[in-house]
Amino acid sequence: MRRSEQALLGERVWGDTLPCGLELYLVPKQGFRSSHALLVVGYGSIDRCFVPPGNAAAVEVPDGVAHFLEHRLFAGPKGDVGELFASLGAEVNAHTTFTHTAYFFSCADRLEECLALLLDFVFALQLTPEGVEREREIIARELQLYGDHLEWVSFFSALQSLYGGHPLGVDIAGTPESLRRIDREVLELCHRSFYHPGNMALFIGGDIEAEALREVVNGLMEDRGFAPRSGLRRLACPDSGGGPRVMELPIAVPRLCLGFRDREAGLRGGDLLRGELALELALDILFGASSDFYARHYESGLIDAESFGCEVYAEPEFCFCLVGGDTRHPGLLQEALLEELRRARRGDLIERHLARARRRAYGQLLQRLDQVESCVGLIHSAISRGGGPFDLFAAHEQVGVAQVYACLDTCLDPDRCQRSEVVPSGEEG
Amino acid sequence: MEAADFEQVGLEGGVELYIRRDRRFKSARVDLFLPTLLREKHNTRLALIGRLLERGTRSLPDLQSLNRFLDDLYGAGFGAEVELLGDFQILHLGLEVVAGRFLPGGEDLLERGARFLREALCQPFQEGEGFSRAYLRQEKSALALHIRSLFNDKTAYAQRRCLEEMCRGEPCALPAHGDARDFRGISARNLLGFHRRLLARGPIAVFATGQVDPEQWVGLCRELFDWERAPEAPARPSLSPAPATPREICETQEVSQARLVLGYRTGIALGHEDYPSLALFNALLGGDAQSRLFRRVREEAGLCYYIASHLEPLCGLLFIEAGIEGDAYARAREQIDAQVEALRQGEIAPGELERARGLLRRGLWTLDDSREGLVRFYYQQRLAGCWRSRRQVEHRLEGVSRQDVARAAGRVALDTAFFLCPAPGAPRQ
Repeated sequence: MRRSEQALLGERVWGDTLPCGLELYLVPKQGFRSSHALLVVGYGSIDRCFVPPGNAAAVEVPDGVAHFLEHRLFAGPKGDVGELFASLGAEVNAHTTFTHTAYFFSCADRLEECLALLLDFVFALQLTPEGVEREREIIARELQLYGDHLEWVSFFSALQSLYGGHPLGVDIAGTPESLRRIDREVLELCHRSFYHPGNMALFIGGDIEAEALREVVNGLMEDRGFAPRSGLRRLACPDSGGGPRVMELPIAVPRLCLGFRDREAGLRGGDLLRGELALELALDILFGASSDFYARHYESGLIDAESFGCEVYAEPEFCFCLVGGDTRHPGLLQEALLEELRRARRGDLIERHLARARRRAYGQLLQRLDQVESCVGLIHSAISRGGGPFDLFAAHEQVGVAQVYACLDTCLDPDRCQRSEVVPSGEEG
Repeated sequence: MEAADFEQVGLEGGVELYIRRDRRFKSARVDLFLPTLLREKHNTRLALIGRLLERGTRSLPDLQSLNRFLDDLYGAGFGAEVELLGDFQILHLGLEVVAGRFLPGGEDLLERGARFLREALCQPFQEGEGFSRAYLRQEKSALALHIRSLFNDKTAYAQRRCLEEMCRGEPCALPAHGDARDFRGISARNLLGFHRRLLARGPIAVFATGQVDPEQWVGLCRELFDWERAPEAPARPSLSPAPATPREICETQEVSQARLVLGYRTGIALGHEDYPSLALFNALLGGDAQSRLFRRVREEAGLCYYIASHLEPLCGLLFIEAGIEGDAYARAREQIDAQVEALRQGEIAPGELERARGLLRRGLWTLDDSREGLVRFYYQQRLAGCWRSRRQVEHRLEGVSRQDVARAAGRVALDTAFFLCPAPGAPRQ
């Protein structure tokens, strides 16, 4: 096993690639009563086109299959997965993102039994026509529920403004139309193609003994008899870009979101993590709670503390950031945000505030080590993007003022921003 | 015999210190609570005070200098939240700082942080004999905006409306954020007077957890909590019974999915000898994804996307919340009633009861993996006027029988059914 260490913090991570291809990362957190395991499948909502292993031709599948599979696998070969975990005193859940599907549980004891259960149900897809139909209804209802949800609507509206019909601009659960096209055959094809240990990583944190646990996991995987495999090829989807969007919801105050796509997309590992940090630092200096912009516009009432903020999404496949919040005057806010970006390129704002922004970012990163779950999430976040376990910490020592300036050009370019807005509908507001 | 979760020290002037040194964490966390009984008009005052305490102090007179100070403390977390617990409105100041030994320079941040916390509480930025008039004006406007934006989250809206209708005239029906109609009577000067009285009379409890040296901390607190105080214990109203016929309230809005909230009175509050039975009743009914409501109403009957129940421990209220189809009101009500009734009749399988008991037991023992959870567990009890260790609570849970749960269920009486229905078309009943 490979050992990675962060000496000052007293944290270490053990990593190994098991013979079946599964990547295993063990994160000892002494003294914690809960353990947390996270199984990540390299299959997300953007994987619309791919060449399945053993196939010559590419296939295109309807949007929402990754999420549909995540839901359906919970039906389990031996009964409802949630109930089985509960009978072991554990809580299990899952989510699907743009790039992966993650299954995770927390347990107080019986970690090995829980791991056996986890590594059992994700590989055992059982589909009946009724089961698929019922899942379709449940997901349709989920879509409907999220349709009322301001955060969600605003987020996907912003993504549509950036990516148009690319899968990034489509709800992770799909659309009512794409859901209708998901059938047993598609589900089986995607499960077969992506749910192989060679396309998965398992992260386990808690009061664990690394060597012994590695043997347990390896034993569980050997029982399943997977052989290493290659041949899965993901294909990029056509990306024609988006355009401005306006959505209506029964809300009281409009929400503005400006989106910026990074021209530097395609980075991995340390380069990507440094690029992400540079963007976060730039946004914090420009629009964070300590910025001149924030002080000025909070006092004028143009922005509020609850909803105003910036987010960076940096993956090897894409990189973008979103800036915005609730405002009575979306037009004024947009102008103010863009003007601030122009000002930053002219002046010395970045130099003057970089040291402070770095202290803040580093302290907040450290605080994520304080819970087993967030710590496991931190390690996963570095690994899944091609870095080493502690590369998020390393990035803090490496990002300098030049890199922060560089992202003003590659990403935060006022001339390339896309606007999306959610506005009050009907008589409300 | 386990050690107590918190070391307790009483200071002069009735300040209670609770200390738990825990070296698993990389930071020190301080939670200061100042509760007052919810009262009309007063609730708006406290809501504004919470916001003003985050705006500036004597030595950090504006938002920007305050936030930059926190950045300099390696992104220390700081917040002055105004929260509700039953019929209490609580000013909660929180601070989290990374321990010096994990920082490059090794500097100790806790003492600087604690001095800042005291200044934020006792010496907010002042103009003459009042808060800053400009800040107050801005915060009134921001609070009004926040109150309007609460309308955006339909699930939370339905929950709040149910409580409001159900407990009209009782303190617990009042919102933590107050009412914008009260603003006219609130001046910068009378608001500071209100705050000063609160500081002199409110019972203060301070929890310190994580990287804290108890001796050093007590010494520091003796120095910091140095002002004259004469705390008064608030007189709480007695619990109200449910009306003979439950209220049914229906509102229509442009939502794609209906929200159903059922509010029950139990007459059993935290500290009551039957509370463990009620807690088990709630766990069985809707405490997790394996509970009756989830399995029978969501999974089997397919009537809703989400459904859960939760307890409001201080006033002995129980709520069931569900997202359902607009035309499923009567069927959902019927199914939910049937589940409550079955528990009243004691139709509980032994395995089911043990599973629920295991859920609560593990919840207790993993509480200390998160400091916030453990602090809340004890602070809730402190407010309810009881203080039982986790071991004692567990012991009481072990003694609960099926008949005890049925008896507690017999005291659960529906008070108000609130239905937020998609327009057009009222519920067909």
